[in-house]
Amino acid sequence: MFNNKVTMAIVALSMLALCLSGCGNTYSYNGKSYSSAEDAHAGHIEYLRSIEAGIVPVAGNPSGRALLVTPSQKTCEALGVTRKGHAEGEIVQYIGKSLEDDYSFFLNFLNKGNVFKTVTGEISDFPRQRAREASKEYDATIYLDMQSASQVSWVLISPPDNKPKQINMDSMAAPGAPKIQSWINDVHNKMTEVEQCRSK
Amino acid sequence: MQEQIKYIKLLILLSLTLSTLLLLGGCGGSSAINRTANYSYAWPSISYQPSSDLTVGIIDKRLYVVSGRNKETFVGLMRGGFGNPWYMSTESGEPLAKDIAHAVVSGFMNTGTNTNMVVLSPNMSQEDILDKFASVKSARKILITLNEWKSDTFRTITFVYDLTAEVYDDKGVLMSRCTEENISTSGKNMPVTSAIDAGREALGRLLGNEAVSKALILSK
Repeated sequence: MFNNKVTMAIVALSMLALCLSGCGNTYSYNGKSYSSAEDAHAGHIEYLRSIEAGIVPVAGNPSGRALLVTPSQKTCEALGVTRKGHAEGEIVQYIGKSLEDDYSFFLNFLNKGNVFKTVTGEISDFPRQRAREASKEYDATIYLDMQSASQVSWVLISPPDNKPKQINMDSMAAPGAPKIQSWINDVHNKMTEVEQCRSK
Repeated sequence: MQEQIKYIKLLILLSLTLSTLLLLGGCGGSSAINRTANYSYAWPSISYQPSSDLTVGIIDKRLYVVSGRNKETFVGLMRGGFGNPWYMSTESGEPLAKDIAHAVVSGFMNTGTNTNMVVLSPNMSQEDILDKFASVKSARKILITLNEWKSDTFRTITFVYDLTAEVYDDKGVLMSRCTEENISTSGKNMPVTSAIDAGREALGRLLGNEAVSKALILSK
């Protein structure tokens, strides 16, 4: 009789544990698992800081004032998340926040790369629109144009022509600091071209 | 011995009850299963830039909503283990038409176009709608009618839609009209990976229709 009661209790508790464990979310970033979104974000920022530490300033004098406009969490949640089934709001928010952090951290990368004398960072729901509005006030405006999770590009606009120029990353560069360094080098090269154009 | 049989029976009954609850309710009453959808995320991809400011209004004319049988927040069905249906509603608790209006406005804003929104309710007459549009100054107004918009989730997700877009000028004169729908005559629709993405694509097709884009831009 005792055995049956114990068995019943074990079965009931196991099923409850199964229910509860199946319902909880775990968060992973860069191959590590975290029990909360906050811990995962902290791990994420730590990783971004390690990339920043590996950035080397570009050669030559920095070129004036720049504005960096990156998408908000809301925009990243709408356009940057690849969905399967009915995605849970909490998960979408976690991914959206991670993307917002990723992109806004380019302000640190640009500062470390010393491409510009000063860089101001802004987070906007509509970076293209905000960049166009603000471009007259800066020597260069860089924004992230996000159309979907797979259609994301960095764009530079600068006077006198204010024509959008795509900023590229070296696809062959290793992930992490080398990839970001290639992006900084491309910004620098494009600004050098712009300055040559201005001096003509 | 009889007592042992009694306990085994109880054990079987308990297991069956829990299994049934799990099957029917997924993770249980408090439910980690998401029975809501956030269509304000369904920003359509728009490949042209309108040449003037816009106003967007969405009206919900789904028959079951207009008749009052379903709430304006209804977005579809999610089925349990035996095909038993649960109603799905908007994550925001706001009418579906309002969530979709937010998505369409954001889609146009993401092209760099200033876009306003008017909130419309299912029983508004055409005159009421045009009056509402007239209250906001913009060169072009887009009215999207939801004739159908519903997902059904069982083992896969199906998503059906029937949408009409009308573009009006600043005086309320109809400039163009087009319809996009995917309602299968056989009653069987192809499954989709995500209802939100399917909704985004549906809106993108509707607004990408030449009749709409021509009325919104002077040149592509």
